[in-house]
Amino acid sequence: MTAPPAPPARSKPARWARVAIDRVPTKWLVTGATGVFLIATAAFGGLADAETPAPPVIAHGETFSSPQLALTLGEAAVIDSLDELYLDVPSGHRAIAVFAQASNAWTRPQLATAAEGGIGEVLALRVGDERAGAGELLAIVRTDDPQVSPMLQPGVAAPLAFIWAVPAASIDAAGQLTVELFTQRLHTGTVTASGQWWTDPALAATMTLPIGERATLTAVAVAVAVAPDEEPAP
Amino acid sequence: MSARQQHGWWRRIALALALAAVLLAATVGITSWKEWTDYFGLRPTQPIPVDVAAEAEFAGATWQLVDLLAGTSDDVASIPEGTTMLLARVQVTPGAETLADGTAPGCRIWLASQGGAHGDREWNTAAQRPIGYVTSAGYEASCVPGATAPYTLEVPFIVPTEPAGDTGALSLVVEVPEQLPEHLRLALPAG
Amino acid sequence: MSRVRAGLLSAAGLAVLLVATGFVAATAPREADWEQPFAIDAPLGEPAQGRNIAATVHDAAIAERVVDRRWRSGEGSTWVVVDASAAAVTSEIGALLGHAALVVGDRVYLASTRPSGLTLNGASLSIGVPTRGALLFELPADVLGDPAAAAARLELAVKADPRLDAMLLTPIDLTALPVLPEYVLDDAEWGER
Repeated sequence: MTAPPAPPARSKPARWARVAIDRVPTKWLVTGATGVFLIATAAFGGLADAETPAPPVIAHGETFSSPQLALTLGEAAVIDSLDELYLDVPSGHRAIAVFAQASNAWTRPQLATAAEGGIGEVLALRVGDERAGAGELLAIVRTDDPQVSPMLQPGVAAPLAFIWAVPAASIDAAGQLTVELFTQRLHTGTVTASGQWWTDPALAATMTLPIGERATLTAVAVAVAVAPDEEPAP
Repeated sequence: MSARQQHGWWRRIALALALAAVLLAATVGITSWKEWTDYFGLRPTQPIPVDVAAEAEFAGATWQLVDLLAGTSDDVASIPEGTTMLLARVQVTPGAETLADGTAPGCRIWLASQGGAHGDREWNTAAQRPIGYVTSAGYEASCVPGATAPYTLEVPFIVPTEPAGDTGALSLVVEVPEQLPEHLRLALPAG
Repeated sequence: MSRVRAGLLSAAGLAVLLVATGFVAATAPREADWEQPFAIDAPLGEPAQGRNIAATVHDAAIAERVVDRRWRSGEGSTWVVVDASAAAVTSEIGALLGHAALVVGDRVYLASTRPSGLTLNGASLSIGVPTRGALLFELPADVLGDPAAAAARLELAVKADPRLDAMLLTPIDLTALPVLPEYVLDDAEWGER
C-alpha cells in the first residue's frame, strides 16, 4: 500500500505517528491484536464453555411461575386404568400422571393439549433411564370434571393431570421420578402465520416426586400431597 | 451524459427491455392463473344446471329429482312458526361402469337459492334438527358410496316461509368431491 | 459542485431517506390492523346482524356456581352467564357459533366447554330459525375488582378465527349485573315456539 501524499503537516507528532504506523507490516499488527485478545480472555476464564448453573430445585408446595403458566405440583402416581377417559396406553408401557394445580398466567386462553407445543411442553419426566417429554405425553386432563384437553382461561386455576406413557420396566426399578419444568417465550407470528403462541422451552426448574399408585385417575389416593385448595373428586 | 449519449443507451437496451417486460408479464400471468385454478378447483364453482325433474349424468350415476313435498308450519306441527319444510327426493341410478367397479359416488346435498330479496342463500339438511323427522321407509338419508343398486335419497330442509318472489330460484346442489369444481344444480319447481 | 458539497448532499439525502423509511415502517398498518374483524354494535336486548350471523344478546348475570344435569362447577371462579339467541343469515353450511368471547381489559375469556349440557357455544346455526341458549364464561374470582370489568364486551362471530368477518360486540358492565348464588344450565333450544 503506497502512502497517500502527505498532507500539510499540522503537527509534527501526528505526522510522525502516521508514517510510523504505515511502516509496520500488516502481519505484525494482526498477530499482535490476536495476542492481545487471547490474553484478555484469560481474565474471563479462557475460551472454554462456561458452566451452566444447574436449574433450581423446587420444594414441595412451591409454585413454579413462568409468564405462561403458574404450576403447583402435587403428587405423581402410576394409573392402572385410563378407560374412563378412553385413552389407550401402548403395550409394555404404563401411564404415569403428575397432578398439578395450574393457572394460566397469559392474557388469552390456552388449550392444554398433548398434541402440539404450548402447555404440553411445560413439563417433562425422568424415570430411571427414561425421559418422557412432549412426544410421550398421552393427555392433559382436568381432574375435577373430568375433561381431556381442557381450555385454561386466563387467571383461573384448574387441577390438571399430565399423563405420560412410560416403559413399565423403568418404573419398577425407580421409586421416584424427577419432573422438569420449562419456561417458554411468547412468539408472535409474522408474514406466513398470524397470532401468538408459546414456544422454545428452556429448562427452568426440577422437582423430585415419589411415585404412588392409583386405580383410576379420579380415585382419591391414600396419601395425597396436593395444594390445600384442590377439591377431592365427587 | 449528454442527451445524445443517453438516447443511444436506451436504444441499445431496447430489445432486452422489451424481452424483460414480456417475461415479467408472463411470470405474473402464469403464477396467478395457477393459483386461481388451484383455489377455484377445490370449490363448487362450475355448476351444471339441470331442468326440473330432468335426468342428469354426473359422477358415473344418473340423478333425477322425483318428488318435492312442501308443508308450512300450519300443516306440519313440529316445525317452528313461520317456516316451511321442503322434502326433496332424488333418484340415484349408478351407471353400469360404477356398478361394476363399486365406485358409486358419495355426495353432499344442500339447498341453494339464487336471486331473491335476501341474496344467495344455502341451507343444510334439517334431518338432525328437533323436528321429529325420520327418513321414510325405502329411502336413504344420504348418498351411498359403492352402492350396488339404484336408490332414492330423501333430504328435508327448513326454510323461512316467504312470499314466492323473495325466495329466489331454488335448486338442489349435489356435490361429489372427486368432480369438483363441477357440481349439479337440480332446479326445483317454483312456488 | 465541489466534492465536499456533493458528499454532504449525499449524506443528507441518505439521512432523509433513512428517516422516511423508519417513519413508514413504524406507522404502516400491520397485518393485525387490516385483518381486524368487522365490528358491529349489538347492545343488550337489541337484535344485530352481520354477514352471516344475526344474534340478540338478551341478558347477562353473574353466578357463583353453575350446575347442569351431569356436571357442577367447583368453587373459586366467577361465572358470567349470557342468554342469547343466534341464527345464520346467508349460509348454513359450516355455520356454527365458533367465536364467543368475553373481553375484560386486555384479557380474553372464551366460552367454557366444561358444562356437559348444550351451550350456545359451537351451536349449529340455521337461517331464519334462531337457536337460543346460554354462554358461560369462567373468570377469576377477583375479576369484579378489576377496573376494566365495568367496560367488558362480548364478542360473537361465526368462525373460530374471526378475522376479516363480521363480529357482533356487546358492551357489558360486569359490576352492574345481578349476582346469582347458583345457575342451572338448560340445553340450548332451536326454534321458538
